[in-house]
Amino acid sequence: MRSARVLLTAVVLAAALAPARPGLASPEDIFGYGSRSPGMGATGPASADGFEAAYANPALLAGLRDRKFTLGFQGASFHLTANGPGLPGLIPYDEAKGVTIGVALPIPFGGILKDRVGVGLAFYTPTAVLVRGDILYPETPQFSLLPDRAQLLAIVLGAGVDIGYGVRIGAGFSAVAQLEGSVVAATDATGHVGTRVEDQLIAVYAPIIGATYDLPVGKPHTWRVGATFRGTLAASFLVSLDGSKLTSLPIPILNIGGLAQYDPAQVAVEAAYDTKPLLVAVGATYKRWSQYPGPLEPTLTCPSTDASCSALSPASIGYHDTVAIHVGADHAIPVTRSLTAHVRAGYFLEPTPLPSTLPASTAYSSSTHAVVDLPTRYFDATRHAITAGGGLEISPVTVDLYGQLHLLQPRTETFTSGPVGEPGTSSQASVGGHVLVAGMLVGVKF
Amino acid sequence: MRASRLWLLGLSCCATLGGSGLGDVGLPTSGVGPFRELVASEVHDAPYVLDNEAPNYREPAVLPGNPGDASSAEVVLYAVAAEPAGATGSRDVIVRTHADDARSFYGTSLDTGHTPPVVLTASAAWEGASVGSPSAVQIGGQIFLYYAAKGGIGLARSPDGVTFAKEPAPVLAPDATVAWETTTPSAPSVAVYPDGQIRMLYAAGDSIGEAASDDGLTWHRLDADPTTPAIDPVLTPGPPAAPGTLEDGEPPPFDTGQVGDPCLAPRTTADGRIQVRVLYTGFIGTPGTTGRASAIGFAARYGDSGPLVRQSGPVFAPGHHEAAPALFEWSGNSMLYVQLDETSTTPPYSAIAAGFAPAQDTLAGPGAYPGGP
Amino acid sequence: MARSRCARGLTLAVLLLAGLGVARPASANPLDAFGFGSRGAAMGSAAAADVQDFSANYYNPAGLARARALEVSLGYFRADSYLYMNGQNNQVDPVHGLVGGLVAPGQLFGVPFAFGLGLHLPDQRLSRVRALPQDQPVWELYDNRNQRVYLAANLAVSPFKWLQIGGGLSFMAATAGSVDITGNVDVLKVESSEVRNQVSADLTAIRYPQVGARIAVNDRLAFALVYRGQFRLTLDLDATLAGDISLGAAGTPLTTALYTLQTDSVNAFLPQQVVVGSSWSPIDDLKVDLDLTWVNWSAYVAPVAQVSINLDIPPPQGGWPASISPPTTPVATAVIPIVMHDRVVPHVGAEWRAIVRPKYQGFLRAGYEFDQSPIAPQTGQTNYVDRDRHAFSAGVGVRLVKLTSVLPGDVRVDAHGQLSVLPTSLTLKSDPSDLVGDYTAGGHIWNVGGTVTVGF
Repeated sequence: MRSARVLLTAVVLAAALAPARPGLASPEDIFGYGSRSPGMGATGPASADGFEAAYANPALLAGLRDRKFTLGFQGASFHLTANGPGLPGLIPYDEAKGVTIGVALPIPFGGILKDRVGVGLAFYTPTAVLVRGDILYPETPQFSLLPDRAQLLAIVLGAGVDIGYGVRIGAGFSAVAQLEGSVVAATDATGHVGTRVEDQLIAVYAPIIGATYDLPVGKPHTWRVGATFRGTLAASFLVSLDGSKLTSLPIPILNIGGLAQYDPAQVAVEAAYDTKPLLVAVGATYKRWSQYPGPLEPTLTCPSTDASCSALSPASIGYHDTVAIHVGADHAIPVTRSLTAHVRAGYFLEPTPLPSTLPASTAYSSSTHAVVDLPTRYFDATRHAITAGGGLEISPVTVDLYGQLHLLQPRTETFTSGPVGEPGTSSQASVGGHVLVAGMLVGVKF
Repeated sequence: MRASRLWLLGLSCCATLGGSGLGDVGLPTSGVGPFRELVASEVHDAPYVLDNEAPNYREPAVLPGNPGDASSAEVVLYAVAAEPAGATGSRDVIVRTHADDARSFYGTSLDTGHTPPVVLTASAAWEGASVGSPSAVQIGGQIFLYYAAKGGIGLARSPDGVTFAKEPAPVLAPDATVAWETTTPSAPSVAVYPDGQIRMLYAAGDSIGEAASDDGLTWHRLDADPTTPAIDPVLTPGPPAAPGTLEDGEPPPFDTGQVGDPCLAPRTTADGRIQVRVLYTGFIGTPGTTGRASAIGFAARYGDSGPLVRQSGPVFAPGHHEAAPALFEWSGNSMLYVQLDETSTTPPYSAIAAGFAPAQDTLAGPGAYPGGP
Repeated sequence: MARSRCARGLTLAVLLLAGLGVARPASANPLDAFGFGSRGAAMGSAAAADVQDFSANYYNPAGLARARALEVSLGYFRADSYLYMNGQNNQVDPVHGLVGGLVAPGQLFGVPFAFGLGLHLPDQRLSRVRALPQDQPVWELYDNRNQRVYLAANLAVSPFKWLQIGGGLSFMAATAGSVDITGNVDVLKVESSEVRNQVSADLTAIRYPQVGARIAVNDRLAFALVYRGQFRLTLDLDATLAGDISLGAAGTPLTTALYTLQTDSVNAFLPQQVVVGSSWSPIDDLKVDLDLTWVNWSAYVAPVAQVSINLDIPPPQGGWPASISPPTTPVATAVIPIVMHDRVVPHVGAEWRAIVRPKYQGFLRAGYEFDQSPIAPQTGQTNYVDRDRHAFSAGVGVRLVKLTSVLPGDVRVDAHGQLSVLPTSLTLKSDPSDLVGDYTAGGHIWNVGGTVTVGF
């Protein structure tokens, strides 16, 4: 008991005192979410336990029996490289650090609803930056789909109901904030400038709907299948900059914006086999990346009366849908009557939606006074993630640890560029690298 | 965001509404700006409301077209126009026009086939060849039209604002005992205070003075500072900026050379005290300086006597020799009429332009030109 | 045994408070004005020593530890402002949205412990930043400060029967960003300008503490002490535009342009507060609460953007076209500080259990609070409009016990109505040439809402 309290102390103080340095991305979509899932190959639709089911499959919340509060800390470091003409090799990115709070609550209805309803809340926040939107010029070398998507404050809330006959259903939502507004700078008659700034944070929601079915075979062991649908979660940044009243020169109203964060709509299916003490899960997730419009928005839009005006438009990338594969296992090892250890391992394959040949982007060149082509230097690669984890259960406290090693499968990307209207030139880049993730969560049943 | 992208995201996303906010409706204002020029969506030949090269319209004065309705945008405008006059070339006369929406005036250049009629010309010996600087005010059941001429400030009265009968002599003539009036009084602006007093502001030399009357016919000068033996003006040119006090890019004070063309607009404030509001033309450079810059300034006082306190900066300064302000207020809006260089020709000619306040609001599209003046 | 339990309880409280360095967006602005939950709102927000439902997340986190069963609450309120200047309705935005939360009590190492979650989710936006010209009249404490989400998760323990301690760290998000714009602006056809941008924007977390304690002298009398920390919501934006200005076709630039804009503003500032509360039951069915809240308004920061602009557009060869005035670099406006004074806000509330039956109970509630305006008279150039506020509130509640077999606990339905009166008074300007001039200001605010709580 005393050692547990000391451990608890260390964890919460470490979490509270961690230096607040910016971190990255939509973490649940990249690394998984919760105490157990990240160590089990980011599985979950049929195997999630506790608050993580709010994201993995809300239907599994119906199986909650204990109230539990979880506090965790997670960090990720990125070592991403792009080698080729004019490329830097290692592209530096800030580490991602964040804190997770999870709450699992069985709802103690009586009568026909007794032991059938549960609610879960999952809450991840980066330690300093809640949302980062880096929407850079396309010729700037960048891994646009990975590191910055880890800088996101995400709230997930779900509820599940056991409707009997082995069927559970659940629903919930993810929420993220997006920014929109305007900045109007104007000069008054005295020449003094003032601004009128009006910006709003707006909540954006994406639904999560799930269901599971316990197959009536293989008793006393459990075969379970689960499916989860998660809607598109997109956080945009759109601020209009109006300097037209600063001078008699007709300065256009500039739209500063883009998609700061994006998780595609996805459907995850999984089968899990639970023999207690061994749990094995295998699943696949279809992600609809083809609907991703890319991070950039045009700074000026053509008016409806002149749809073909010469205002610059971002390149159309052509992302394609992907199917990720997840495999994981958890083995419970009773140590004493009150202490149980868990060993976990897993693997997942995350294909890249980025095509290997990217079209050129256009920009105005002040040196040639003309519109020119520039290479679109977006990098990404298929990731092979090996996961491992462990846990200790000393009632009422649980401690879980996990680590992930993401290996980017080396690939070659081709970029086209050249003067507008002339045959373009092309160059290539070799992309690779790895990502290290680690986390620890402490839960308390109460 | 592109509409197509918004629609695609909307398939699986939803969001709070994020509607635009209010809280800036019906805000209090002194009604004197700062003004912004009318834009193309608000007037046909932005920012000009009365514009024609030959007449060279100047020195506007306004009257509410519908005095009993404070929400009406109907306005009557008097202006100075150049009229061909035989061997002498031209002379200045006073014309009348009106608009139903405060900006689409009968007889402007785009209102083809129409010309604002002449309502006043010089005919008496004391007037010389021209009349100018009209100021119109309703006293009793009559329109009192004050104007400047060679020998001082005159008065013409009319029951309908079209046909006027002039007084035989100036109502405010030069007074050699008033030391600050180094030129003949001109640019009159007359208003009736809320308590019934009739007051006039006028320009002379490089300053602005004040006179009072009980009937609008007989005037006596007022002293802005009774503590001194001489009669003092209510507004003098502003002091120049002390060396080193201007920030980078900050323009110097705009009215250090001369103040003139007063527009008197008294009102009662929320606490019942009289606020004497005055719009005026401020010049950088003394009278006689060629091409000197000007801007429209604002000065005021509480109470019916004493000097005016000026705003540090102009309330309207498009930078095209704006001058001779006239103010029209309706429904919480203010329209400022000025003479402004029309720069589409070389050399530019003068036209009547308009500025609007509150500057963050936008007027609806312009109405049709009226059928008559 | 009691001593070791005390030590475990206090240690746990400290550790949990220290560990809650998490981003929980919270803003007490709408709750300061309109209350949280129908019971607290009906009782004039005099609840620090009396609260034990989800609204304890705001009024006093220590109250969470008094809950006896899991409770889930959901409600809605709407506050419509009718605020006038010079008799004109300024159409200040209404505040409306969901309120709700839960309290989950339990035991941890033998010590009563509770977790609580409270939420106010506005219908229209999570927050709004508005930085206006400093001379523009604005209802400073009602125009924008109430447009904010509130989300709090707190922990509480009760190491002794007479003592509860609770708290958490709340946060809001500040925005900082830089924008870089390059290209060619065609002054003859601006919509065809070849311009593009890149942006780097962060919403950064701001944390501030909220802690509370409650001491029960006996079954009828209790005192409370609550501290709410200070936060400021900022928006910092840097923008740089560099490129060509042309007349028509690309390849014939008129001149170059460099336009840099830096704007820094503190839009929302929540001053720190200390609440001393008391709750007394002179008879079994009557409860009278009195709270005094000290608000540190003197630390308030003016919500005016500090602007720095550089506009460098060299004159073209051959001079500017006649229709274009040569641009000059605008001068940044000097920000005039807002002068505010600390205030002590009294809250009084009463609750009478009017109906007592085995299966149901009925409650009548009333309250009053007085907010003296903290803003100094606006006789100068600024116009931060505010007036004293008298808030009269009333409400009803019903508690149903064991409504059905599915709901073994109780169900409470509460409703409230609150009328805030801001007596009209004059603002007199000392400078007759002030462009706003004298004005009257005043009005009233209606706040109505309801909350349903299910206890298990």
